[in-house]
Order: sequence, then C-alpha cells, then structure tokens
Amino acid sequence: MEKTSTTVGVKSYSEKKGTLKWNAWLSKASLPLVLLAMWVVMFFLNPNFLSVDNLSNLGRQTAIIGIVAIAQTLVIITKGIDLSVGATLGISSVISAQLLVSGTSVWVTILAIILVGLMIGVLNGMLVYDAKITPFIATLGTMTIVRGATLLTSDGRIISGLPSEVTKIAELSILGIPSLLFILLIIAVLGALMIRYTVFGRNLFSIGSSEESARLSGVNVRITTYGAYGIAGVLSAIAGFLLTTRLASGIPTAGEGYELDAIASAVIGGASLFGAQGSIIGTVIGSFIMSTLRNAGNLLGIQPFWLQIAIGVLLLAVVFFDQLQKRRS
Amino acid sequence: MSVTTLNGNLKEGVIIGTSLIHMDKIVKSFNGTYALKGVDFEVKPGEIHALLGENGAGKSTLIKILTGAYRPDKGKILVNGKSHSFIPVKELEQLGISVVYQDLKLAPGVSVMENVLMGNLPKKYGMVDYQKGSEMTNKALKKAGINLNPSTLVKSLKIADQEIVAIAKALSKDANVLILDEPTALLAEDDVQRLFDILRELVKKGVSIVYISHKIEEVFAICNRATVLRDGNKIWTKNVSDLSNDELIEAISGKVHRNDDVYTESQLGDEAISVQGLNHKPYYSDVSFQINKGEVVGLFGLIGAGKSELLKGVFGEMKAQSGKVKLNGEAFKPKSPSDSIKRGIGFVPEDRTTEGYLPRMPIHVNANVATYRSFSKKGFIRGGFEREHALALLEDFNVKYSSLEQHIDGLSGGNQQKVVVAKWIHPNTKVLLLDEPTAGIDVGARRDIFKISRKLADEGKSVIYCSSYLPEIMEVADRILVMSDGRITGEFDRESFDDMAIMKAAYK
Repeated sequence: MEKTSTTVGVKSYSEKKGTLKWNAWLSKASLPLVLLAMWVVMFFLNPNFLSVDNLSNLGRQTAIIGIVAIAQTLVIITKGIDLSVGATLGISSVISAQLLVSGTSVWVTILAIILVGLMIGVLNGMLVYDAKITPFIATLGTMTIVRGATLLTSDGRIISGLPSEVTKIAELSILGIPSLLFILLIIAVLGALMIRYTVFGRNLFSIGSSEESARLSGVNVRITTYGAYGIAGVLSAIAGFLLTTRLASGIPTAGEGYELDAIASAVIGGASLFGAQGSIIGTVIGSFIMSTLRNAGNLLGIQPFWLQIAIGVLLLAVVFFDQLQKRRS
Repeated sequence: MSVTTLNGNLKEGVIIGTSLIHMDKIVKSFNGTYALKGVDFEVKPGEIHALLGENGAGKSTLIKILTGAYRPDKGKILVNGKSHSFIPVKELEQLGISVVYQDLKLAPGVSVMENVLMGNLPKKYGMVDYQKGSEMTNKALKKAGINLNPSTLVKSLKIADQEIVAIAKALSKDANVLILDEPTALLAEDDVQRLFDILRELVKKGVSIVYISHKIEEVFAICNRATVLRDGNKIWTKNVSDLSNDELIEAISGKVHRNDDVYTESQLGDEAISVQGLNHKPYYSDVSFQINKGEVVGLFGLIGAGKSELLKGVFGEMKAQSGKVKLNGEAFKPKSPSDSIKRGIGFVPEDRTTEGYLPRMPIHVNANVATYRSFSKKGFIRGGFEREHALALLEDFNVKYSSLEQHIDGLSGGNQQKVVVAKWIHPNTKVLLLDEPTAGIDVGARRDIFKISRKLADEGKSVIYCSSYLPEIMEVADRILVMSDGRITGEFDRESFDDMAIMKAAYK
C-alpha cells in the first residue's frame, strides 16, 4: 500500500516537473523566437533584409547600443539604474576624437577613455552607496554634469578629421563578422560568464535581491556597487569610442536617449527593475529586437515616428506578458 | 433605550450593571487554531484596566475583535448595554471606542491638526476650514493635556509628544474607551511619568482606558484592575491593589516545564567568545558574559530588553560604544558583518524576509550566500560544489522543496528559516547568533532548528539562542542568560532552570 502511494507521488511529481520544464523552455526561448519571427517576416516583405550589406549594417547598429545595454543590465541586476550611460558614451566619443585628432595613439586613447568611464562609474557608485542617493537621481545628476562637460570641452561642435586607420576599425570584418558586432559578442560572452560564474556576478544578484540580507551574509556591498557602476561606465566609454570610429567623428550629443534604449533592451531581455533578474544574452537579443524594428522601418519606408510608437508598444507588451506569466505561476 | 438582539439571542441585550464594555465568552479561531477560547473581558467607567499576557496569549486578537477588525466565532459584546455579535468598524466611533497602536499610525509629513482630525477635517465651501480645525484640534490637545501649535509637522515632534498627539486624535472622536497598545514602548522614563499624569487626568474626565503592556511595574503604577490571558484563556481579572508581583508574573507565564526531548549534553571546550562591559546606550549597558565551545546559551528577555541590539553589537552590525569582546581568547573589535563572518561568527536576524534570505533567488543560492566567497577559486564560483553543499544542508535540515532552482519565496516560512540557518553551517563558523530563530514557524521546523543547534554544540561550536519565548529556550539551552532593560539580570544553568526565577529576572 505504501508502495502504491509512493509511485503515485513520484508520477505526479514528474508530470508537474515536465510541464514546468516546458513552460520554462518556452519562456526562455520566446525572446529568440520573437526575433527570428521578425526576421522571417522581414525577409518575405523585403528579401533585401537578409542581404549581407543590410545584416552587417544591422550588426553595427546593434553593437553600440548593445554594449550600453549590457552596461545597464549589470546595474539593473543590483536593483539600480544608470541614466548616465549615454552621457558617458558622449564624453568618451568627444575625448577620443580629440585625442586621436591630436595624434595620440589608439591604445593610449582607449586607455584614457576607459579611465574616464571608470571614474564616472565609480562616482555613481559612491553617490549611490556612500551618499545614499537613489540611483535614479544620482545618475540623473551625473548624466547632466557629464553632458554639460562634454559640450563645454567640445564647444558643442562635432570633431572631425580623424586619422583613417581609426575609422577603418569600424569597417573591418573579423571571421566575416563586422568588427563592432564582434566586439559586442566578446563583451556579451565575457559578461554572461561573469554574472553567472564569478563571485562578483553572484554579488550583483545578491544585493539586487536584498541588500540587507546580502550585507548580513558578508557580501561587500560597497565594492559590488562600485563595481557594477564602474563596469557600466567603462563599457559605455568603450561604446563611445566605437561610435567615434564608426562615424569618423566625435559628436558631443552622441548617445542622447541611449540610457532609455538601454533600459528598454534590458527589460525586453528579461531584466527586472526590482533587481536580481536579468541576463546578458537576453539583453543582447532585446537590443537586436529594437534595432531590427528600426532597420525594418527604414527598409519598408515606415515613418520613424510610427516606429517609435511600435517600440513603446513592444516594451509594454513584453513586460505585460512577463507579469501575466508570473501571476499564473 | 431600545435593545437590538443582532444574534437572535433572547434577553441578552439588557444593561449590565456599570460596565461600559462587556465581552462575553468570546471564541475566535484561525484555521482551526484557537486564539481565544471563551474569554470574558469587562471595562468599567473611569478605570484603567491592564490587559496582560505573553505574545500569542490572545491580547491582540481580543483587541482586534473589540475594534471590529475580526468577528468572533462565538460570544457577544455589550457596549453601553447594547449587545452585538461583532463590532461594525463603521460604528466604532459612535460606540466611543478608540485605539492608539504601538506604532501610533500617524502621518509624519503633515501637521498635528491634519493628524488629529484625519478624516474629519471641517470644511467650508469645499475647502478646509483651518480656523475651525485649529479650534477643534486645540480642544482635543487640551483634553490630552498638551499644548502644541496645530500647524506643527508631526515628524518634528519628539516621540513622547507624538504619542500624546495620537491620544488626542483618539479623543477627538469623543471616545469614552481608549485602548493603548504598549504606550510606553518608545518612551524615556520621565516621558512615561508625564504620560501617566495625562492618563490619570483623562480618567478623572470619565474616560476608561484599556492598558496593554509587558511592563509589570507600570501595571502597579497606574492600573486599577488587571486581566491576564494565557494561551487564549482568561486566567483571572483582579484588583491591582490585591495583587503581588509574583502572582502576576506567574499568571502571565504559567508553569513552564522543561522539555528534554531534544536536549543532549555536549562536551564543553575552551572559551569561544566573551564579552566584557559592552555598552550601547540606550539599548544595553555593561553587559558581560562568556560562552564556551560546545555550548548553547539561551538569551532570554522580553521584547525590547535589548537582546537583538546586543547580538548585532557582537556581530558588528551595530557598533557598541565601549567594552571588550574576545574571540578564541584574542581581542576582537566587531566592526562589520563581513569582518565578523571572516572570523567565524554567523548571525540569523530576527526578520527573515528583509534581513534573512534573498527573495526571488533560487534555494541553492540562498543556502550558499554566506559561503560562496569562501568556496570560490580565483573569483569563480564552484557551481557543482555549491549544489552538493546545498543538497547536503537541505537534507540535514529536513527542508521540503521541489528543486534547487526553486525560488526561496515559494517555500513555507519554516523551510525558509531552515535555509537561512543552514547557510551558516560551514567549518569556518565557530559562533552562531540566532535572533528569534523560530518566530512565526511551525512546530516541526522549530524542532529541526533545536536539533541543529544541539548538533552544532556537539561539533564544538557555540550558539547564542536569543528568544522571548521561555519554553523553547529551556528546551534547547545549556545555560540561560536573562536580559531586562538592557542589562543581564540573571544566569541559570540547566540544572537550576526555574521558570519563576527566570521570569522574575526578566521582569526585573
């Protein structure tokens, strides 16, 4: 008798587990499926969409916002938000253009802008952790300051006349992949490994889940907060450098609005502003979905204003369905 | 006076003598557990009536029934002689019943007037009539015995004045029965005296007060009668003048029998941790004790005795102002949780949901949150190792779960708490501080936590088991330290565990 009851128990358990798995698989795969469906539809509407030219273009477009979105994701996982990523990208674009025009070598330039990004990021971390300013306001402040400083140093003018070996970087292909996309993929893989397999990555989730519990369990909240914002600053600065090579000029207003696109990409990719939730792969796919919409709009000659509306609707739809699913489970 | 019989009861609604409120054989159960098993409670005009009992004795349930938050399963409530089967919340004001909760429930960001008259602000042409409002507020404040500018923001007042504003708010509704829930919990000594003066004045004006408190001396200082509840039963109602201190304590705590089911004596080793003259005013002062390896020490005291703060002081979460701590014979200055953890101290905080676990995170992450740094290699987490570690812990602690990836939020409270305690099980952890580890969890989980505490002692570790529930401390501890009002007021070895003596020390 006891035996029967055990088997029944096991059976119902595995059944339950089976449906759980199917649901989990579906929810995990739904995002890539959405992207794939978008591509297939686009191909039927305009076969040019899958041309090598257009795809490399799409890759380059996505690369820069994708890197910024990865930066944003790290911060969102800690239950923070970083509104200064776009401004950091802008100042990095201007500084790297100025350095390169003045004849500084590429490597020194990269090192310099990484330092600038790190400083802005750690400043954000200090404002959030030490000064206890809510992340939204802290980074709104640094965003405004950094953007102001960018306009000041560049006099509000576009800086052009970059050496040709720099502008070539963006046109290179590595293993048949546009260099910018290649860099995005490397950063994405490193980022995904970091948040999954390193102590620092686990710390990000821990403080995002409950800062108090994490601290009382021995997590160094200060270093983790500095780290999250610091890396976000560095990645944004790298994105700024890449944008400069792509556009062959330093643009003081570059990256305006990127902070919001980055947040949207992260959220479409499964990150939650409540913290402790988010994935790098998801964010990259989220960035691709957004840039595919824009690219498709261009190809099909849809008014960009409508595209804007479509992106907003998409964002709300994704979050709504996510909520719906959570409520069911 | 017309008499309504809501319950269809016959002739029950007659006016009974002089009582304002008469609760008759009130029964209330929650999911089959009885919180009140037929309790009578009566309030007479112009008296201060103490309602006493330990946590879970049924005081809150009784008050919630009296204020309409719960409906009793059985019994009836007579207010001014009128019988009710329950108190309709909307009529509470008309019935003249008003409550001041321990946390006051004031809106700190707005003025005294808006708080006192909340929901009753006088209006003129659809706008607030500030002049009339001020007059009404002044009247209420005067009745409560305080003189304040009605436009002062509540948050700018000191806590004692806020308390009185809360009382004024209650009185502004012409209450003749005022229920005060632990009114002195947040007050300093001289403010307590001031509050007592105000309460005595109120009684002269014909207000009756139901006074809920843990503090015995306050009962003798201000109350006329006392009713004691224990385990949902009423023990008695007596005139305070006929009472002795010991009689009161015994009625509240009852006889506690030591339960030896779980207890196994462990081999005592050297000193693990000692504390000398530790101070953190106003929470605790001049605290000294020492604990050996292989020992579970119960830290017993009422709520507000300073136990949590003391544990946090030892853990480095709330730095002590002065005093010495020694860990394994070496001087140790607790400065931060992460430093204390590195030295082998673990801490299970009182509030599991905000300080204990990581919500929305998988069980295996929660089980490893205190140790993943020490398991890591060159900054990389060892996922497989962590999972095995988590599985072993969950097995040891008898945790019921469906998968390691399950979020901890999905577990029952007891199983959550077991994971929170389990995360400290690691060779490095030498001293474990448990703050009310069984609060709000079921009996089975409670026993598992007892067993783990004993097991840790067997392994030569030390446990400080802090609780305001005596039976569980008597069950698990080798030794009991009693804390009252920030001081250690008693120490008992297991052979000399005596419930009355321990209780007396706790009320000292």
